Amino acid sequence: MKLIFNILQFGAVRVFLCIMLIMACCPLMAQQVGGIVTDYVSGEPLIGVKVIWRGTSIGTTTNKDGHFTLKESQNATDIVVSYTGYRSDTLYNVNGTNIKVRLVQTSMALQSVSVHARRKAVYSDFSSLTNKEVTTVEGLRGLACCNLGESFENSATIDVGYSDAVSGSKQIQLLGLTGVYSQMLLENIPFLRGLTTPYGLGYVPGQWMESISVSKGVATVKNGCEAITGIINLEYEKPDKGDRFSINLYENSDLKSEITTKFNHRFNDHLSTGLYLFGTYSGRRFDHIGHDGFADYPLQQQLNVLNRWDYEVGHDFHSQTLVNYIHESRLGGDMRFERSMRGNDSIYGFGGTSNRLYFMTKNGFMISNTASFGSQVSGSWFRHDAWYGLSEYKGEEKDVYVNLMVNAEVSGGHIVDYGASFRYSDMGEELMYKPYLTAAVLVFDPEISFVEVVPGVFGQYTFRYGDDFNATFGMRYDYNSHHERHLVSPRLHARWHMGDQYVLRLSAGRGFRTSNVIAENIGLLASGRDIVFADTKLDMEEAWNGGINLNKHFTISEGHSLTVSIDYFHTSFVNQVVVDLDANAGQAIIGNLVGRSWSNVVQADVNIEPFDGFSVSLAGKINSVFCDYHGVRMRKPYTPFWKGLAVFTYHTRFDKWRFDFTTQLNGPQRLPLNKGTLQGEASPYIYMLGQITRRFKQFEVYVGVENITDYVQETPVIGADNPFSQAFDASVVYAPLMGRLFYVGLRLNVM
Amino acid sequence: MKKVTLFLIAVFFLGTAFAQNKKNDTKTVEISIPGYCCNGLTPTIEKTLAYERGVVEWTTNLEKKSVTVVYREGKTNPAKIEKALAANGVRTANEKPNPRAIEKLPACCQPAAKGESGCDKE
Repeated sequence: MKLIFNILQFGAVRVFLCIMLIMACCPLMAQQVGGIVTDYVSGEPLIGVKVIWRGTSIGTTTNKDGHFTLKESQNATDIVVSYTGYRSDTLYNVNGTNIKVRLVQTSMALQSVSVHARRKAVYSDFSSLTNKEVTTVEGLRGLACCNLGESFENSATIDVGYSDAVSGSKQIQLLGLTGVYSQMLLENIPFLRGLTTPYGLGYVPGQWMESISVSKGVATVKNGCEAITGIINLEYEKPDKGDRFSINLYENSDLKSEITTKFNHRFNDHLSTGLYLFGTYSGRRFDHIGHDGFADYPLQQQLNVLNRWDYEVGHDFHSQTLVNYIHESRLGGDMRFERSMRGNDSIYGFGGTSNRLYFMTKNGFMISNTASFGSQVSGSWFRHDAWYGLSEYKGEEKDVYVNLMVNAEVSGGHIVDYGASFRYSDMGEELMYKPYLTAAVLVFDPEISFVEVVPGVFGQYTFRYGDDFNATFGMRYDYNSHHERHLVSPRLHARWHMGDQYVLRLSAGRGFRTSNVIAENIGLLASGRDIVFADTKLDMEEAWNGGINLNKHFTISEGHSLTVSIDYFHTSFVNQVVVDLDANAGQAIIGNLVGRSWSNVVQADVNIEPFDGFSVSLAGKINSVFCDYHGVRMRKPYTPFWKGLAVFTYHTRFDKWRFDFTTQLNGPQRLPLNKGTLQGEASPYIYMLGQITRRFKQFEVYVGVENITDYVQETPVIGADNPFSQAFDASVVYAPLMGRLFYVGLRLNVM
Repeated sequence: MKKVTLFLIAVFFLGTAFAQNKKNDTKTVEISIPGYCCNGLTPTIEKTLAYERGVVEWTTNLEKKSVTVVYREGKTNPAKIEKALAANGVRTANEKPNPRAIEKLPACCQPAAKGESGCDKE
C-alpha cells in the first residue's frame, strides 16, 4: 500500500517525462557491407574465404582474421560465401558491416557431429577497440547472483567490498580506484551515478541481465567525460528475444528470499513488451560474526519493477523505452533495534529507505539503406532517507540526460561520429551529523548540495586500415555550470592486430567528474569520526588515464583454445576529492588533493578450455595505488595490494549438470588509522564459492555455497559495546562480513 | 542447515530418477525436418531430444533432413517429440515452430529475410 502511495507522489517526475519526449536524429552513411566468417565448430576466423555478390563476379576474400568488406553493389543484394572444404552459404539482402557467417565443414556437414554452440561464460572481446571483458548469461548462471554487486565474484578486474559493517551496501573498485571513476551504463546510457552510488549495485537484479561488459581504461567521448577508469555496460533482457515467462526463486541459509519473474509478450513482428519484477526479503537478523550484538546483515526489503517496450521495423526503425521503479528499505545495527527507535541514543541503529524512478528511451531511425537517425534520453528521480545512529542523511536527486549522435562513414576506412549532449542534475543532500553522544550536531547542506547543468559537444574520427589497424581520436567539450568550468576531454584509442592472433590495444585520455563526497563515502557515517571540510569548495575531480593491453589467442586443437591477456593501466589525478582518515583516528578530513594521487594496475589473464565442457580461467593482478594525505604519501586504504583468481567451470553434455567453482586470493590491504586494535595492514585471505546446477526440460535447480572457508572479519564493529562514543567505528571493513552461506534456487522458463 | 541439505539431495535425486531408461519396449521413428539444411540446427535438435522424457537415443541426418529417434512406447510418441522440437524452433513435417524460439537459433537457420544466411529459401 505504501508503495502505491509512493508511486503517486512524483509530481516533479511527470514534468520530466514530458521533457523526455524530445527525439533527435542523425544520418548514417554506409556504402560498404562487411563482416566476419568463422568456422561453425571452433569459432575460429577463416582466412581466404571467397565472398562474392550473387550472380556477379565482384567479390573479395577474407583477411587473416576472417573479416571482409565489399563495396555495395548496384545489381545484387545477396552474397555467396564459399570456401574449400566447407559448405557454401548464401546470405540474402545483406547490409551493414557486422555480418556474421559461420561455415560448416563438408566432411562434417553430412554426418552427425557435436557442435560447440555454447557461449563462453566470460570472454574477452577480440574485435573490440577497448579491452572488454564480457560476462554472459551463461556466466551469470554459475553465480547465484542476486544483484550486480554479487556478479563480479568471478572477475579479477573488479573488486567488491562492503562500505561499512551495518548497511550491507557494497562498492566496487576498478583499476584500484572506487567505482565512481568508472561509468555504469544500462544499454549504453548512464544509469547509476550521483547519489545512487551507495546502494546502486543492489538495484540491478542479476536475473534481469543478459550480459555485463567491463571495458578498462578511459572511454570514448560518446557517453560524457566521466568515465576515467572504464565502463561497465549492462544489457537487460530484450522482450522480443526473451522467454515468454520465467521465474527464479532463491533462498539462503540466512533466510534471505528472492524472487525474480519476467514476462515477455510479442504483439506482432514489430512490437513487444516485457514486465520484469524482482523482490527480496531478508526478515531475520543474525549475529554469527564478531558476536558483538550487531547484525551481520541488515533486514532488507526491495521491490523492483521494470516495464520495457521495443518497437522495430526491420532495420529501418528501432525504438526502446523502459521505466524502472525501485523501493528499498534496510534496517541494521544492534540486533535489538527496531524501526520505531530511530534517533535512540542507547541502542545503535541504522535504517534507510530509497525510492527511485528511472526512465529511458533510445530511438534509431533509418530513412534509406544508407542513412539513419538516433537519440538517447533518460531521466531519473531518487530519494534516500537514512540514519546512522544519531546522524540523519537525506538525499534527493533529479536528473535529465539527452544525448544525440551522428555516425557517418565518410568513405572506406574513415568514420566520423559527432553529437551533442545535455545533462541537468539536481543533487540535494542534507546531513545532520552527530557521530557520538557528546558531539555537537553539524549540519552539512550547501557543502554537498548543488545543481549542475552540463551541455556538451563531441566529435570522433575513426581510421581503419583494413581490419588490422583502427584508431579513434575523439574530443569533447563540456561546460559545467556548478564549477563554472570549460572541460576539454581528449580521448585516443587504437587497436592493432599484429598478425598471428596478437592484438595490441592502447588508450589514453582525460576525464572529469563532480564528486558527491558524502554519498560516495557513506560508510563514514557509521563511525565516531568527526567530519571536517578542509576546503570550502570541493573542485571537480580531474584525471588522466592511459593503458596498454596485449592479447594472444592460441588454438590447441579443434574447438579448444587458450587466451592470454596482459594489461597495464595508469591513472593520475590532477585533482581529486580526498578523504584523509590518517591524520587522526577520530577525524575524516575532506578536501581537494594536495600533492599527487595515482594508480598503477597490472593484470594478467589466462583462459583455457582443456577438454569439452571444462574451462579454467586464471588471473593475477597487482594494484599500486598511492595518494598524498596531509603531505604523507600512503597507499589508498582498502585496496588489495594484489589479487589472484581461479575460476573452474565444468558442464556435462547438453548442460544437464553444471559445476562452478571460484577461488579468490585477496592480498593485504592498508587500513587507515583507527580506534581498533588492528592497525597497519590487514592480512591476505582466501574466498571460495561454488555452485552446482541441474537442468531439466523446463526448469533448473541450483545449490551453492559462498565463503566456503568461512573466513570473516574478527571485529566487524570497533567499539561495539559503546557505539555512541568516539571509539566506535563500523567503517573499517577489510574482509568478508558474511560467513559460510548455503543457498538453493529454482529457475523456470516457458519459451 | 541439515534440513536444507536434505532438501537439496531430495530435489536432485528426484530429477535423476526420471532419467532412468530401460531399453525394452522401444520403437524407432524417423522425423522429417524440412528446415534442417545446416549443422547449426544440430545442437538444438540434440538438446531438445536429450531433455525429452522417453527418448532413448537418436541419430541426426543432415543429408536426409531428418532425425531418427529411438523412444520408449508409453512414455512418449512421435507426435510429442515433434511438438517438443517445434517448441524449440525446429520445424517438422506436422508442427509449426515457436517464433520466439526461432530467434534463438543460429544465423544459418534464420529466415532469409533477416539478411543473414538462411537455407530455407534455396
